[in-house]
Amino acid sequence: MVGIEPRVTSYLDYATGGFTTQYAAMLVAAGVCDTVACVFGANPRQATVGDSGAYVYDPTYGLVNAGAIAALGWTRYMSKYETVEEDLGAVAVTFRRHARLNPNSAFTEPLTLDDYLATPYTVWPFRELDICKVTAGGAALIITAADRAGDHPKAPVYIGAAGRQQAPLELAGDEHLMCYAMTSVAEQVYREAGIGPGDVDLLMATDSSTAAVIHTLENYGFCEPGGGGRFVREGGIALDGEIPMNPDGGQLSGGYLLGWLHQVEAVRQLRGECGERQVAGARIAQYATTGRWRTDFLSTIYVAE
Amino acid sequence: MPDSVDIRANEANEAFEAFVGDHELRVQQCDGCGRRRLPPSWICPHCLAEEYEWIAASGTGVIHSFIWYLRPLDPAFLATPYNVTIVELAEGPRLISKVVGVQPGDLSVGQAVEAAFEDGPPGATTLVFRVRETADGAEG
Repeated sequence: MVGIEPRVTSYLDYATGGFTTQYAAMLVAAGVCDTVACVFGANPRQATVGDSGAYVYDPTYGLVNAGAIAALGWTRYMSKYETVEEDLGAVAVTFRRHARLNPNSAFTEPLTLDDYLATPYTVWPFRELDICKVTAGGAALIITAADRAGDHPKAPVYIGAAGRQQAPLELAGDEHLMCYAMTSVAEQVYREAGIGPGDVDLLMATDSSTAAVIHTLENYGFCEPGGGGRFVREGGIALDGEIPMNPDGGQLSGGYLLGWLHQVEAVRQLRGECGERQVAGARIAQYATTGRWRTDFLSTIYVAE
Repeated sequence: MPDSVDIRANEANEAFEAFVGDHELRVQQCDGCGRRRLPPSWICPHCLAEEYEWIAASGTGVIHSFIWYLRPLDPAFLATPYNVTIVELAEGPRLISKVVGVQPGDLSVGQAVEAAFEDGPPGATTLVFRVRETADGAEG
């Protein structure tokens, strides 16, 4: 095959980028492979129009679309904490502003909070802008051992720590719906890397829904529980904020390739290649994702050379 | 080779559906640890005991979470608005269901509900919930 004789080939059924790269790192660390190419491509018919997460969870009652699971989580959240509609709106607006600085973005129309608030609900408490759209594109990440990484045209980025936590399948526990299982991943990666959230320069995290961003900020310790909405409204995740997040526009505005672009952007940012949207002096990037109806949580710490 | 696990899982599901067909709500109670569970499963997810009993549920519970589909998200479910509600039964287990006889804006987390049954074609009874009226007539 074009001169490549792979020792291992795998197709991961729900291969959000994080699961793939951690698996690749294991193959290298175990000595099975020297170098692993992680590749992803998609060209969906409904690109930029269809909602991501199309899936029927319950055919009797019409529980459809992964966004609905996130919406059930936000309903729970609203019953525990004081919220305003601008909490989620500020996420959408911030990432759109970032996307407008990224020449590869899928969505670049200007978006204001008023624009957001004027759009109708799709699955209450979510509006259309709270759920990411499917987009077309491709990505590749090459994983190799650190001692082989210097021999390439571009500076390597190192994996500093990896963590993962699957939540038990008990229906609708808050480990699922409010992503509390993330706290276990946080404990794993921060301990392994010897850092805390305050040391992270750049957060690249799942924004398949706006609400997922708030859960991520709180569960990883970037702000206090219940404080995520205010944190975002006050500019905490903007490029010049306390923890710049998804400077490429994320899944909501940059484009949705099942989480792969978060890692691509982490690498580009740590190499200082991002022009107008570059997070100044970024040395430590954290990737965090969720999958499978919020039952699978993962994070990887990336460190610049 | 027949998969006995699948057969036993189906037995639990079919038994639950048969109770619903008779307008009864029952939950599984583990003989090993005494915990009550739904959705139906052939083995206790807490202690792995396979023996259980079906005990009658009170039918009452509270809303754990809910959403309202106000615009169709899937071609198979175009009739909006409709809600999907997770109910926590008084016995403990949680179920995906819906609340009937309500409009968007009527539901809240913690609201008291009770089981009801919608009869479709034979063998197609659906477990639903309705808002429970308290003794003084106000919604619980």
